Amino acid sequence: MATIGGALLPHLTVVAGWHRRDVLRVLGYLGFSAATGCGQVSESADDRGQFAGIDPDDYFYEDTDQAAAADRTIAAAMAVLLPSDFDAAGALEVEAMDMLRLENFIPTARTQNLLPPLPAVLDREPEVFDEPIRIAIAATLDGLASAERPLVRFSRLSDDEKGDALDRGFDDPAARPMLLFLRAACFLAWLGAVRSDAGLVAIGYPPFENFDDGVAVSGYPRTTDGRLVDAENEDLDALAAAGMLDDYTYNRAPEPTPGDDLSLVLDAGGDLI
Amino acid sequence: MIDVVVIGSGFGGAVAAARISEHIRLALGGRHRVVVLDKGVDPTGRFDPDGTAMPLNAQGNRFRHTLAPQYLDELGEVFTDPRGAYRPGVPSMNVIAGKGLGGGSLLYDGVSLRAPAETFEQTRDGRRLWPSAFTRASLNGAYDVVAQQLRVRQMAWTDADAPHWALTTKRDFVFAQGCRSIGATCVPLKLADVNDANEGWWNQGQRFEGRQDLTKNYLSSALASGCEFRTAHEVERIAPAGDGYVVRGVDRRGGKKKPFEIECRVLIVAAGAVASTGLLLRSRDDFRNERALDQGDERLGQPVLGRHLSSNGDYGVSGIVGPNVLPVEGHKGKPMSSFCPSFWPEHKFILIPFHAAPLYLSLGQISSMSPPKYPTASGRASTPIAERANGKPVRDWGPEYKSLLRQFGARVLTMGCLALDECEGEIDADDDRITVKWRETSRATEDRWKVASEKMQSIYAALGGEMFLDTYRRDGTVNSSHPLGGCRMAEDPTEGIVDPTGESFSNPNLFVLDGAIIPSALGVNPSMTIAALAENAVGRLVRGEGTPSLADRLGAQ
Repeated sequence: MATIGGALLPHLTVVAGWHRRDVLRVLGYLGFSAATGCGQVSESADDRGQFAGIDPDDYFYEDTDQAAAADRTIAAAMAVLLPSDFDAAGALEVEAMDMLRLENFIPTARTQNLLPPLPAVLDREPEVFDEPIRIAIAATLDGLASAERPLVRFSRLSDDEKGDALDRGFDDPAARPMLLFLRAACFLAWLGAVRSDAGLVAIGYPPFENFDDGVAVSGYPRTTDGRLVDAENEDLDALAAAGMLDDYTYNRAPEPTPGDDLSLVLDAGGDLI
Repeated sequence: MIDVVVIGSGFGGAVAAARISEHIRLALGGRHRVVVLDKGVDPTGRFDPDGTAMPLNAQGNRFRHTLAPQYLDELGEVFTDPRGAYRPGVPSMNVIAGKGLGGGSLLYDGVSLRAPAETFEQTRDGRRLWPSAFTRASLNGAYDVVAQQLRVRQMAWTDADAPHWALTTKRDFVFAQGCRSIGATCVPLKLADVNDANEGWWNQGQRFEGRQDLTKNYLSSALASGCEFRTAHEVERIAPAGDGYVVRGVDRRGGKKKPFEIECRVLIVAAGAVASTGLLLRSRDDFRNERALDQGDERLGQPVLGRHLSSNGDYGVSGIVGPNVLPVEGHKGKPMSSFCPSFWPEHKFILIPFHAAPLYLSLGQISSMSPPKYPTASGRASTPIAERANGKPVRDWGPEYKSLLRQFGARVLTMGCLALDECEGEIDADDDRITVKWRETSRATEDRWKVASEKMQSIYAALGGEMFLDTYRRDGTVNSSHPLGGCRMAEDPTEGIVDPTGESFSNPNLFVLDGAIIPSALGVNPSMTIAALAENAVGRLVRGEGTPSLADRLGAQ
């Protein structure tokens, strides 16, 4: 068994073949490298790369309680990174833990053009990396907690202490990749990936009608309480004057720009000449 | 033996499939088979009876509006540079492309501008980049046809000029105010979106009728004319075979991987600029000597295939407007509905405000919170770091950040430029992946982007806000969703891969008909021009105008 998190945390281990540097390497591929905050990608970022000799059977823990304990630690950090409050759910309510799973994280980040190229094994077998990464993140969090209060786990700290521990972690090149990944998972999940539209609604998007089927509400203008307005037959001005209109247009033309004659730039059809 | 195989179903492939299928049905007695292969899924459930994907929704198609990862993965893919992407100081390129039946139309924002006349007159080393047959005037007929098919019309500022659902957004009005402040003008865009229900959530697929994706027009015409569709068919190689070609790949329908091989007489490659070029690069060893795909390389040792990739001058930025400006609400309404053409005459770029995608916020930071690592940059990393009451930097997590995100809808404004560039990109391919590279930005492109960046920064400043640091200035990464070139057309076989009809110089009946053949940046969104070039090429093919007719090629009686 290889020790993760240094001498302070002998109880947090993963099976042979996985070391903290392996986790950091994976997170580096995902764009969370310690040194730059950006991806560190080798020129052989494929099956011939760093993971070629690892047997997937070696990735898994023998002690599932450790994995469960790690998840509890991570949940405590997520509740601080993206807390729930009076009018919006937080990371735990939007099931951010699911976004830590690479099979969810990778396609989401990739289609947003946020990921560097990955070794093929990360696409082919993302699930084998999940638990080692979570254990390593938990070990990092507990290591940070021990610096706040010796031999106290992260989940046992007060909220202020957790915040201070995370502050130090974000400043620590060794811990930063773990925390950046955790932070990204929280906000991705909050902003509509995987299971919830809570963050989308909080920042002003229309709610989903049915999140499981991925069906968002459709159509504008709407009233502020969500009713779809018939723009051709209802009095939009009256609704707006009453503060009841959640439109998407100002229905106003900007004033002409003095001295900017577009007659030589655009044709009658609205195309550039 | 299939008569015509079309690889890809975007703005080039859909036009080719429709026009060839119609011609075969109407003029050739319907006696020939046309098959479209696409590596993605059929989002409608209508085209490929054997296709498999997520279940149909209540509207009878497979579109969702979700940001769920598995769905996003079905709509688009990213090509990138393994050596350079996201490495500060290393120039690199990322290209996002549509995936699935309909190609780029599944992701595009409906912007339907014709390329300006100057686009076609660009020269390098004193030589015109475009074949002499192509001018704006010569393409206007084809543009008209495409505009009718895609139901293009112009947006309006007020409902005195158009139905309320055809209006520009709040984002556009705020952007127009900013433009006016710097002496420029914003005008409504032309969009392909008739029947739009004012979606308000328009950028990832479209489950309603608003998005004029190609399944609603050209591909439906092809289907009605007997064209066959095979989705989840990823083509890996093409090669000459007898009088035609063999297409080899993997059929992934049903979650299985089953090799397939199809022989055809006429082969049309239209998988998009990067994927089409990548496919030809992978296949080049099967085309040797006089049939070499790249005659420039074969005869002169000067490769053309995979070179001259344009980003179309894409340069997107984000930022916030000040608290005293009208709310932007950048996430509502059509994803793009106005543009600023004022800088085109002098600087050859246009500016477009666009939909603010929420997930970008997840990995980035939306205001001045990062240490000023880049003192010469303008934007978030060079501005003072906000401090909390205890004197520590404002966190980009926790309740403060959550609260800051709530201002997103009201204050975040995203915009970008499309510009002429010098086609600095390259495409490479091996068995595992297709990559794109951007080795160095030319002085001309750099100067153009610098002016565009300054103008956009001025707009934010005029609106009382600030522009954030973008990936190009941060780490040299060029992001493009409008890749063009890589397999350019030309009049001389040593300067291009295909002739002005899109046919390979050295391989009869092998065509490339998509953005790959476009020999320069366009400076505007390219969907109309890709489709118009395909209309032009296939029109000449079926008429036998300056090239053997399709009937002759198929040996039709």
